[in-house]
Amino acid sequence: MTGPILLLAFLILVLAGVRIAYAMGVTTVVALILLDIPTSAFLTRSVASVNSFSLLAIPFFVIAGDLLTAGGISRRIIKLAESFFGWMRGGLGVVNVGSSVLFAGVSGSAAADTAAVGGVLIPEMKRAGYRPGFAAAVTAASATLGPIIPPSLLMIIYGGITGVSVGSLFIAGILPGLFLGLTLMLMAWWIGRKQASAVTTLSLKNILSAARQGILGIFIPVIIIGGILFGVFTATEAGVIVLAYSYLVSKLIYRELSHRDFVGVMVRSAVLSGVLMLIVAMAASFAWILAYANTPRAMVEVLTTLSDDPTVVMLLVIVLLLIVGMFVETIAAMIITVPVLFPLGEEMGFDPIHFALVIVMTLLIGTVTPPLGVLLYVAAGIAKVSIANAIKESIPFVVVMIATVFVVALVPALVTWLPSLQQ
Amino acid sequence: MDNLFQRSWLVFIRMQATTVVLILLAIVLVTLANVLLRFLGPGSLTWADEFARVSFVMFSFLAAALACGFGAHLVVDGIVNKATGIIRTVIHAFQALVAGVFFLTIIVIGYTQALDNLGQRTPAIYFPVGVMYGVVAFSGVLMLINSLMATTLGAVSVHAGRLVLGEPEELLEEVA
Repeated sequence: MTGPILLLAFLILVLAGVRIAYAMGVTTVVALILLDIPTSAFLTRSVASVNSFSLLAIPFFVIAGDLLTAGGISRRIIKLAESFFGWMRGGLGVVNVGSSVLFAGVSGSAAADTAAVGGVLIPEMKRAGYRPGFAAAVTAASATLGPIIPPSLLMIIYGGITGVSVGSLFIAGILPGLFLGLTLMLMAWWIGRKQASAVTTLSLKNILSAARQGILGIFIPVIIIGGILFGVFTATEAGVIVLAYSYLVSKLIYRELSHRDFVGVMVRSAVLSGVLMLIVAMAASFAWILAYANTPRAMVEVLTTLSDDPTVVMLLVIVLLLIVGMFVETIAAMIITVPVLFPLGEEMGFDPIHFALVIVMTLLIGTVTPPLGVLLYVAAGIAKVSIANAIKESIPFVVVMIATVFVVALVPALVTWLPSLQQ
Repeated sequence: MDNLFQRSWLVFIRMQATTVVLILLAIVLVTLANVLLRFLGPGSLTWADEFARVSFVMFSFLAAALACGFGAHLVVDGIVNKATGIIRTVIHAFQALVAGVFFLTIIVIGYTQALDNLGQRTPAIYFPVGVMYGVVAFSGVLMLINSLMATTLGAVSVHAGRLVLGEPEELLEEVA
């Protein structure tokens, strides 16, 4: 009974507005005292979890992502996507998704994607005649590609909690991310084609000109994916290479990064990394005490009473995560659920990388659904449109996202094929 | 008088931010040098991995303390924000109590662990493990001070590369 009580106590603290990291820490310490385990285990577990080379990738990719926007790389990436897709009727919606696909390859955060792509394309879409709610919805939905296509802060944290290789998780996200990007592009084009006409003409000159400007940004995913896939460096090392590359390009080639910008990037990144690392540290001891209390085993027993078919259990997990994701912020939801679900996946014989992708993709849907659709709220704010309108416009995209998650869940090869090629 | 307090608070937080950013830069430079030397130089630095990890532990807790000054730690406040009057006051008092317990736990256990591990050193760079736990305990003190200051004098945020008092930028949203 200890496990469910622990989870309940933690949830009560979180719902009472206690900071998530504090709630996990206090719950763990109280449990240690009640179970008569030395409280030193709390900090030993937490410090050991942070003492990890793979988690170093978090500040590296956070800094790199911020440098991309401050140094003008993001803007050039959007121009490149526009030269490819802007000639279609309803093309700006496709440009929006295309920009997110490209941006996802250089940044690991969905909100950074929303702000960078939405900040440029939502006003442009409104000017071109698209409905503001549609512009907000397509921006928010496509921003979820950020943590699926590598690099991904969510994958790094997932790897930190479970010990699954971050490099493999990165590579595993490529095909599902591209698949989701393609389905979102089709939906954006289908809805958008009735709203506005083309914004540019298809010309090789336009494409070459934009490619010349944006080519240095496009090298970033090549560095990350190529480096990891061919065993040149680890995900963490890829992070530091991308960071150095983004700095040099922004500072020496584009000359758009001032000293003050760089200081701001470093402080913001340090603070954001501190937020994430405290959660990871506390999650490690919280997960350990949950495991000690046999919670994952109890969860397996509950789910297997409903069905012992792995496919049905996978679908039940998706439904559970869709509900959790609607009410709890993505990282928090992952921190709460992964320590319980990961052992369940092992017990049911799921491939750990496949299961990780299903969990991450499902939870991300919550960022575009009410009542806690963070990305939708940010995009609606940029579009200056009511939340209700943005929610209505986002329904087709949410349907596409859910359908994609089910396809990814039922076709594991979509996830596991690329990592199997890793050297 | 308010301004003097606020200025002192900003100086205090700038000192912490400088320390944290310097540690982060050291981690970045050592890790980068390690990768470059592996391909372009005589080989990897044997101590780089451990240096980065030990520094990262201290960075993580000090940066988490800094984040308290920014009011940036993740919270689910949708339900609490709907509360009014006495209920809201009670909830805020409860949040402060839990936060206080958390900070004290970090301080006390961190301090005990620091004393217990003072003689133990890491294998490659011979860094005292006790000092690492000491930094964790110290970060607990900073978390307590920064949270109190952020509540009474206002949270800090980054604006045009400078630390200013005001609403935190979209840090929470960035996390997603």
